[in-house]
Amino acid sequence: MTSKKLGALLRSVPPATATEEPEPPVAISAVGMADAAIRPPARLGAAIEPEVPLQVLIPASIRKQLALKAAEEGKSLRALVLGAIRSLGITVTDADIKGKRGRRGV
Amino acid sequence: MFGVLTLATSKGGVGKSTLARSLAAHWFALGHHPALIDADPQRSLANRHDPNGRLAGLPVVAEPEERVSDVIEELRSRHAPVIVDTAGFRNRTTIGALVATDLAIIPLKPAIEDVDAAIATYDLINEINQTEERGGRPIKVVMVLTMTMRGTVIARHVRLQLTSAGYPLLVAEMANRVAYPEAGIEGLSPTTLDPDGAAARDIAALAHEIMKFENHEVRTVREAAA
Repeated sequence: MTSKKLGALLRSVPPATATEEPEPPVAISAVGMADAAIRPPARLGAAIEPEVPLQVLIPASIRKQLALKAAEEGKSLRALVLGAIRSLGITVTDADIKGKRGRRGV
Repeated sequence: MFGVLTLATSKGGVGKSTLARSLAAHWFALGHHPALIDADPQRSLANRHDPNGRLAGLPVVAEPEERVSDVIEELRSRHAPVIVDTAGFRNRTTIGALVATDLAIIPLKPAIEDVDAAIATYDLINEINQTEERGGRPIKVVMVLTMTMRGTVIARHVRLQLTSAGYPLLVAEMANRVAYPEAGIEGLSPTTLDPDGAAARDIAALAHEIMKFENHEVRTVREAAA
């Protein structure tokens, strides 16, 4: 819980990074509510959506296995991680995996 | 040893990242377990750091978002000091880092724009000290002159003006030396490449003086000037 004083200080300055555009609402008029509930939220296209860093501390041995796996499959580490994220059921498109830097991650 | 050191000022280009990396490399070389948090969206520390290189045992975590205080808390249980490099403008991430900080270091070049920014940052820290989050535990704060040229009138003038007004200023300086950008190409520090060189000695003197601040009593500018 942020105190009033700190809250006022935080509101008086901008964030360090650009705020992402709000997600457009999911159109539910053409589908039933139950169907809408299981649909992934609408997302900006990968071509215009800003990318943000994701950095986690993991054991060095796991990091090494990841690097080896990426090399074996001829993929970038980014593509490998995004593929794993997609396997969790999170919406990741092929364009997301391909990224903005070309076709290396495909 | 201090738990968390944050380098902050609302102006860019004063040497915050260079000083942060240099201090971390110095304590790392001495056998301590520092960690670096790159809270600057420019990611100049994180981008240059080679996790398999000569500073492989020094974690560098990029966290420019407001979650920085969580990252600080996570790292401080395993590392000391945790050194936070911030962006060169007033922003929420910097405030979040300062709230979790034991010692704030305000770097400034001997130039009027840097002095103005340093004083504004000092005032911001005083405001943070009045929040419930700090709960009567004021952040210790010290300024440090960077990129100084030996014997110049402007450096002496700025030092005299700041100290006579009561602002805490380290005696040691980070002089303008080519060793910093040279080492920075590989994300390293002069301490790593040339531990006996002049730049490494400068950093050692700064680090020694910074640690002495641990036992300093926090005083306001008015109290210090009196």
